[in-house]
Amino acid sequence: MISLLKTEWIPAPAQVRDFSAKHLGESFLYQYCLAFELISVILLIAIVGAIILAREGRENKGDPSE
Amino acid sequence: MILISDNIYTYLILSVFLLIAGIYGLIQHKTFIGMLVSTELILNGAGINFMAFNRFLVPDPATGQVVTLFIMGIAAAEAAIVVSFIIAVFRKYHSIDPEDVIELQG
Repeated sequence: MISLLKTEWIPAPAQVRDFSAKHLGESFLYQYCLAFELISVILLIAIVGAIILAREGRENKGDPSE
Repeated sequence: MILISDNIYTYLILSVFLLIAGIYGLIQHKTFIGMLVSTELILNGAGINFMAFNRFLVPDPATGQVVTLFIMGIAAAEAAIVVSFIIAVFRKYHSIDPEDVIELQG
């Protein structure tokens, strides 16, 4: 916290103030393409893992309706 | 007049507060749901930090937004994993109190 307040933050000299979704989407598809694909794989693995974790122990519960 | 929203310290102090609140919630751990919420607080503090540095210090404004969206994706995956983990723990122990899950404690 003290180092946060003591640091002299230097602003960027020439900042492009383009916060549009178009610029964001283009950088998603060009500059960060690999990370964008990897995050989809991570989400898929998370969903499959969540389903497997939540289904575990559901059959051997002795539920007659299964 | 200096706007409080035009100052980088506002966002940095807010993210430090979120980090401290998240770590406190993780240490206190009353329930698994509370620990999940604390983890979300920590990740969102990191996201606010990224967006603050991106807004004030970085020439390209898309970088911090991209990283923050990745953090949100990781947080979503982690929330799904933790909720299914809570379901599995409740099936085995019939409780979601972290004090009850002590089988690995020896």
